[in-house]
Amino acid sequence: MNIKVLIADDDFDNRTIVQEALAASDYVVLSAADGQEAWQRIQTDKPDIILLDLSMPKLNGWDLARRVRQDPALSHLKLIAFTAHALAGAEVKAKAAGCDDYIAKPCLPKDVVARVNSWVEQTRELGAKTPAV
Amino acid sequence: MGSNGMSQRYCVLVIDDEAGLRDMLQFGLTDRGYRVVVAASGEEGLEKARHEKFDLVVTDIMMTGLDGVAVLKGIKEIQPQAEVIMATGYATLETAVESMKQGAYDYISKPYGLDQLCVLFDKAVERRHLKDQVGRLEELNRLKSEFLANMSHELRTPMNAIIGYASLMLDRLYGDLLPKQEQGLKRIETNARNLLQLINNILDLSKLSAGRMPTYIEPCDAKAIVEEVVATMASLAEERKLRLVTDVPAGITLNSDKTKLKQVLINLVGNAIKFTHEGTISIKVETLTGPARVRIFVQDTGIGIKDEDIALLFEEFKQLDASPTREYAGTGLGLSISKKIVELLGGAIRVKSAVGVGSTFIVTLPMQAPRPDDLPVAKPSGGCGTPLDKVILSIDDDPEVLSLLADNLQGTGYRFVGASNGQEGIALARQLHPHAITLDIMMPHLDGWSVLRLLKNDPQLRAIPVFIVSIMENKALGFSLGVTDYIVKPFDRQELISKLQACDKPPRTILVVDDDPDISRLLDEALHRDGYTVVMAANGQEAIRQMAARKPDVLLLDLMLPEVDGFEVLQHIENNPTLQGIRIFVMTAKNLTLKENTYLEQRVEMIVQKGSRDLTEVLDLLKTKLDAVKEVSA
Amino acid sequence: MISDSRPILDILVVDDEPGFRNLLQWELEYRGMRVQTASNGVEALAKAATNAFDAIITDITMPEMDGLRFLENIKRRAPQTPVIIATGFGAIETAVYAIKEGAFDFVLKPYDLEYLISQVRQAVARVNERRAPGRTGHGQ
Repeated sequence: MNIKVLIADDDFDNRTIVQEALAASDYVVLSAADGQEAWQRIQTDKPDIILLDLSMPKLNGWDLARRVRQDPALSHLKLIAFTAHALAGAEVKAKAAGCDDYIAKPCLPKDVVARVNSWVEQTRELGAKTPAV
Repeated sequence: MGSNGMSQRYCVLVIDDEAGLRDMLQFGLTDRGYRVVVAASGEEGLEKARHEKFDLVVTDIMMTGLDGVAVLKGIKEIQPQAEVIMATGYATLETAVESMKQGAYDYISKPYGLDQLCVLFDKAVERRHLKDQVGRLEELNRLKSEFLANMSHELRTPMNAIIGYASLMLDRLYGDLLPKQEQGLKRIETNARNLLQLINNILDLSKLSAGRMPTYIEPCDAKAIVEEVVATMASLAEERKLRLVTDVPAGITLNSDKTKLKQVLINLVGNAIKFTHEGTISIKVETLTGPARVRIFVQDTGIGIKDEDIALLFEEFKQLDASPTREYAGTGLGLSISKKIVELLGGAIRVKSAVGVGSTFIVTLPMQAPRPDDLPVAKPSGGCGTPLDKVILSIDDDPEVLSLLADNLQGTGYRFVGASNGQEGIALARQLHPHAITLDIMMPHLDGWSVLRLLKNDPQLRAIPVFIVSIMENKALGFSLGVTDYIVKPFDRQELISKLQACDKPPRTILVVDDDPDISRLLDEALHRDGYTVVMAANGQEAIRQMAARKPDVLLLDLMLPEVDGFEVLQHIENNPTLQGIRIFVMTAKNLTLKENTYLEQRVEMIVQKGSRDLTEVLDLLKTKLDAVKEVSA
Repeated sequence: MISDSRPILDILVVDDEPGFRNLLQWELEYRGMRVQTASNGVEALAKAATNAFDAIITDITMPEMDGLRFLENIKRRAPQTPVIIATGFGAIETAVYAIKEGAFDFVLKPYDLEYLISQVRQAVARVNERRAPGRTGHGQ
């Protein structure tokens, strides 16, 4: 599989854990430590799926999501939000900002992989092209 | 008085184009201890307001140039905390309403007496103090919420890392593992999971206690929720070879918080599984009327709970098995959280159990959960509940006194909570709804009288009896402000306890509906003796009228009445949501048909057959029921 | 029927005079609002207990429970719901008292209908402003 996943999170450990888990399932993994870096990576490396933490410095997850959704060329990107905040309504807000899915931390790495797998399956079933243009 | 006991002089700005009135007010108010500044026109008044802070402003309305309402608006922009009183000889409804809407404190017609004005001043100043108080408490609350939100994030992030790495390693992503390594990692994972659960519980509890747990009210399908819960818990039950069955009719929908409901059910089912070695766990849901409620039963065939332990069950951190082996591991928080959540949703939870047989947890919820925006209905602060529920809140700046009160209340069945200042006390009163409050008068910052006023002005707290515990004895003032009683220091333990217990049984209103005058008279006398307020009605129509005038706590209803009979009265109650919550006891000499019996059973607390017993027996039965620990109604 | 792109407002009209109630109900419904009525304070409280209203318009002189008592009660149970008093009883003290007790406005009958309607809309707008933007009206 040559599906590219971008993990954007300022938490070093979470980035590492998710990276390891996804790499073991044959995904190509890119990482960014803040929202701005993530945005740059999206332009240059063209990932298919983005896992983004909602509270990052420089450009937080919500704003990043909104920016992505404003760009029609990026409409194929799947956005999966996660956060350690236990705010009620965070899921609703994330989806309102344009995220496709939401995972609450702490989460098991294998659950993250499973979620990414299911989005890949869904996209395939819809017949859309999976690799980025 | 223009100055209070703390010798603070209030500043008043007088704006009036009439020189005579200005002089009179200046003289008269200065005499009463106020600091007075005068202005002859609206413009002058605003100019003065720009240079000096005022506590109070009294302004004429009809003036050349800027009129009173314009002045009011101006002042509110420059000094929003100043309380403005409009005074005028030419009162019109429109200006009055407009002034009040723009934030005036009050409206007084000329000519007025100086005393009248000063009374308004006192009230206005008091309102200002209360507003400041509320502002500070709101700020405190906001800080608390922020702290909770931050904490939750801070705690979850490292947990994620621990759980994540352990999981990766166990999945062999970091290479193969020796058996001992695997074991060690599994222990890390289990402990991490327990820690996470504990963190979640503590955060939930903090949120619930701080009143910061928002609820999302939406239509909830009971059957769907129970099915989801079963899906989550099925494998756990299977592991322990237990059967998990449900009995939930379709079509039961209640307006409540879906996520929290599931949380409670998962907690109850989880406990049931934990404490059951073999057999079945069943979940059953039914609907009730009078008022409209949903009742959920979670029953197990487990080890059961001892009678003496039942009272402790919902307490925080209490675990029934404190033995070193700790066969049933857990944090002891789950049930207390469940209880708080159920109560937040307007309901109640209780348990029935027999050792060696099993336990049944019963959750009763209203069909409509209370709206989060509205103030909760003031909970009865006296009377019902096990003794351990009765909290005595003591507000005193002297730690010795608090300690003494705590000691004196040991073993009396009351739970003691102390606060060392008025602000803390009021915040705790709002959280705990104590059975009674003892209050010291001489305290710095916010003295006892101010605290008393704050308590009596708060609709949620004003029903709580307040006892002044003080060396001072200003009883007249105290009673006029709403004090229940005085306990003079140094106090006697017996006196303290007997005075606190005196507010245990507040006189309750009973409406007795019976067309037989002999019976009504007997009931009246007997109930009166026991401290109830008795209202009588001789027929159904009158009963309905009496209930509209004043809603009784208890209704003793004879079924056979002229014109409008007992059944029609019951029907009226059912059709009238404002009459929800009345405890209904039906008495009748009639032989009821099965249909009538069933109809009544669903709507009343008890049916008494007059024919089969004599009146004293009936009375005893009623009294036992009335005096028994009330089922907390949802 | 004047159509409105704004959300439908639920209004409770409380007055013991049926002619008055019906007239106001008709006028409000014509403007696209959903109206329920009550003929006294007790009935009004009962309706408010099971319905969420965006605004309440109430008379003062009514049997069973008058408008001021009703105002006190409703402010305890649903403090966010704006209440407008529309009465023939025009004493200034009453008006001042009503506003202090939390009424949004106080108008004398016969009143200017357009003014009343604009006050209703203003009151609702004020309440929505106070809530954080994007709130659906339930939790936070």
